[in-house]
Amino acid sequence: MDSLSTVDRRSLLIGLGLGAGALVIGAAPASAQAGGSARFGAMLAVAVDGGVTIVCPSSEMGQGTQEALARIIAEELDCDWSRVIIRQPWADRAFINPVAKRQLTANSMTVTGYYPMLRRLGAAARAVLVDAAAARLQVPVGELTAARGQVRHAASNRALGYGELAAAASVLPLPADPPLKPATNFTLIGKRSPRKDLSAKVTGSAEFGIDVHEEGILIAALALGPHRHARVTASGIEAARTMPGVKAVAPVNGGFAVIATSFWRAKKAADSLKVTAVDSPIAGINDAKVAQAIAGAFDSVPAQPFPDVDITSTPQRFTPGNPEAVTKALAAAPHRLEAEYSVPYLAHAALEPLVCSARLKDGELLVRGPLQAPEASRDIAASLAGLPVEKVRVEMTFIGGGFGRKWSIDFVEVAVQAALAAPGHMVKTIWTREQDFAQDEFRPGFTARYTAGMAADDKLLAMDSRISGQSINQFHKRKGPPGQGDPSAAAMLVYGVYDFPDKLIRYHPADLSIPVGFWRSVTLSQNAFFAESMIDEVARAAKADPLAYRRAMLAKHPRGLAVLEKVAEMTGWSAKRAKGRGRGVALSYADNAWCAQVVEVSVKGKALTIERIACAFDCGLAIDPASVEAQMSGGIIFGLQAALWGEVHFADGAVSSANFSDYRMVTLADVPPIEVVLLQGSDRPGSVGESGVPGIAPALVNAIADAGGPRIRKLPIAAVLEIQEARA
Amino acid sequence: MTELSVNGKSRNTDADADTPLLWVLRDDLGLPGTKFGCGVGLCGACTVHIDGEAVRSCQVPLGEVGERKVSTIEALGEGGLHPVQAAWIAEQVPQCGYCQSGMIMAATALLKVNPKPSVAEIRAAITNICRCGTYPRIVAAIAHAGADLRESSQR
Repeated sequence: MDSLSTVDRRSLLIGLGLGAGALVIGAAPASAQAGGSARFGAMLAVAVDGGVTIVCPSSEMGQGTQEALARIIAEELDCDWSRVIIRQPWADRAFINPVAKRQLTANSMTVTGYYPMLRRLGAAARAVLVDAAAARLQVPVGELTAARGQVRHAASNRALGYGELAAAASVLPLPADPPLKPATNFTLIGKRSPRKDLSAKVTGSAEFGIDVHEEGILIAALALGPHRHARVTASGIEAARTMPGVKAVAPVNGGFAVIATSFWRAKKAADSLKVTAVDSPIAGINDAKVAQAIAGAFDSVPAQPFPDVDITSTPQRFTPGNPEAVTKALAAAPHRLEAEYSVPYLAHAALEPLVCSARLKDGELLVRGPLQAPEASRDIAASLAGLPVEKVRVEMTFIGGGFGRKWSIDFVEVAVQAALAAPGHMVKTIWTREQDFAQDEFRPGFTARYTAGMAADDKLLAMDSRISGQSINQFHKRKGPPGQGDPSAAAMLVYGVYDFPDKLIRYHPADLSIPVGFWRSVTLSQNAFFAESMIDEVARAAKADPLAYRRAMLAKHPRGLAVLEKVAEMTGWSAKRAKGRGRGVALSYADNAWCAQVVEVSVKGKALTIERIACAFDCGLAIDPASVEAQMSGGIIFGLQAALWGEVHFADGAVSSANFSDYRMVTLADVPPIEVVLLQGSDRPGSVGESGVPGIAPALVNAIADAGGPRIRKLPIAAVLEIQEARA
Repeated sequence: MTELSVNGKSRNTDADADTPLLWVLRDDLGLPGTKFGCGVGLCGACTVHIDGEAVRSCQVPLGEVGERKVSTIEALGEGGLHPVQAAWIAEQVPQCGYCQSGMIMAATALLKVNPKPSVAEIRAAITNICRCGTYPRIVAAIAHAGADLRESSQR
């Protein structure tokens, strides 16, 4: 059970710039409490002047969680929203996500994870403020109302501001289970108003990781080998040490850091080093070898089973596949369809490159950067510096794009290693764009093979699916659930929500050591493409309407049906297509969230024009609908880049995709009209941040096939068709 | 020591002449609003104005700036909000925000020469990369700002 407590920590009050008499409350998940002393999570402070400070526990990378979490608290608090200031958090066990039980921002579980606790936090604060007013006004609590930062006694026409009440409220006991506001009374949640961080982001004053600065700061540039675990040597180190502005040259994981008084001087010195790999886990790698390893794993690596998971049930239901039953069903099926699909390695390519700062001074280490995983960052920083965790403070800045890359701590390790070489100074380590590509943790490439068995009436009877590619868990030495394949590779290879009897998923881990990691939407980023392409091909083989074919298998899932119906309505799905025009549909789903996308295209010979994209999305309760819509259209654009052009290349033992000239990004001219409509099928929030990404690739290839173009089973699409400017 | 005009002031730096203007602004002159994204002039995050034109500052060595007037995002609003910045807030453009300094500088330069750009003209002029995909709202914000600027110039 979460625990709420008032806080009386002077250093915190000073650090937040609050004077004496402020009411400071924290909410800590039960697992964060230690030995009776009050510790706090999301922090809420009401100052004597009525200003409200909310320290948000999550990172902000454009997905709007800092704003959303603050709105949840402020809704229940009934404060004056215009007086609320949102502050960046720091690494602290008390900030952990109650569901993830870690402090990290990933997996689209921030709003869903913190929602119940933060409502209680706001409600408890409101309750003690009202209690304080009741005592001051000498009236029963029941005669008081609270709104916009004031407690009012209508009968006597008296009102007290939250600031006036903060000191008195701060000594009152907090209710353990305060009543929550009914949704019909919401004034912030579900409403539309500009986010508070927009102003800083349009004036250039928002602090990103690359903007960290203090007096005496030094900048580190890197000279790196082909792989973080490669053993490397370098020539030119002594000469580099004498170059202008250079203070130190130090080994870091996989290379060297050159620390200087400015980035350009550091970079020139770093570029002067000649780094050679003595050995490397990817020695000799190239595109052909990668393809061989993935294709070969089907035969050379024993399959790991993966269950059919029903993520729509609580708790999630796991049904192991039955190979004998599936083999039997396929053998008996009147119609069969086989298909093989492939997707390449994908780069994160956030616009802010990897960067992190650290300072070792007076036996304490400060780390400050664009971090999705501050707790893990703190642990590794402490370990590298040989310090107890209490002597390490990790602070977060805005993140200039995360998408899963800044969840990893490899770049924090390098930044701390660089800082340890120049103690007493803040050292900011900046990766170049080329290094950001070369040192990425890619979404792995995968190949999937399906055999579907259909009845005489073309209903799906059985689907046998196998997938080959790298395991993210294996690269990061993380333990997955026992006895089954890595979920990041195998989950939802066949959608659990489609109602047909026999499903089998098997995973062949490919034997490759390319750094891999979580890329926005992870397993669905490839498996939605595979699964929704295959279902589409099955439907077309049956000469059935692909949307109707899906609909017929979703009777148990009204929310899935609802988004499909909505997107059909948005696009006039059933209307006849003009020659050369096509529409494709794809469904995807996550925790308490359903997404249907339709893409409309024109195909003329090899020329592809994207005409429009429509998306119907049900994430339950949308805290900030404008932000949700932005996440969906932004996620669609993110996934569109991958579908059209995304492909990382390898050559001569290294990543050969060097910069945006080698890895084409979607720009303004590539974006057609995108329409997003929100549905609400649940009273609680669902996963948003990643939900727009998975559906676009399958919807697009399905549309191309519908238009009379080829059935594309291997991404990216630009390898097959010539991408035109999108319809305006 | 090199002298250059930045945001209407004369500034000095002892950076090497081959230092890209981007890094002079960020590291030497305390102006971190202009961002580093690619270093090869492809992403536009480093866009500033030089004599009123949008320029990708990672491609301009310090030694080539000369007497031309550099202005950055920090000075755009002249103490308040430029109509483009106000439109960016009204249309809720930014997500992570990292690309937006460069995007706004590019949009402002466009509107100065073309107060009512068509969508085709916007597409041709705004080639900055936004990884979060805020493009649809950028188009709306440019139209919004263009209308505001035309209205205020008519008063």
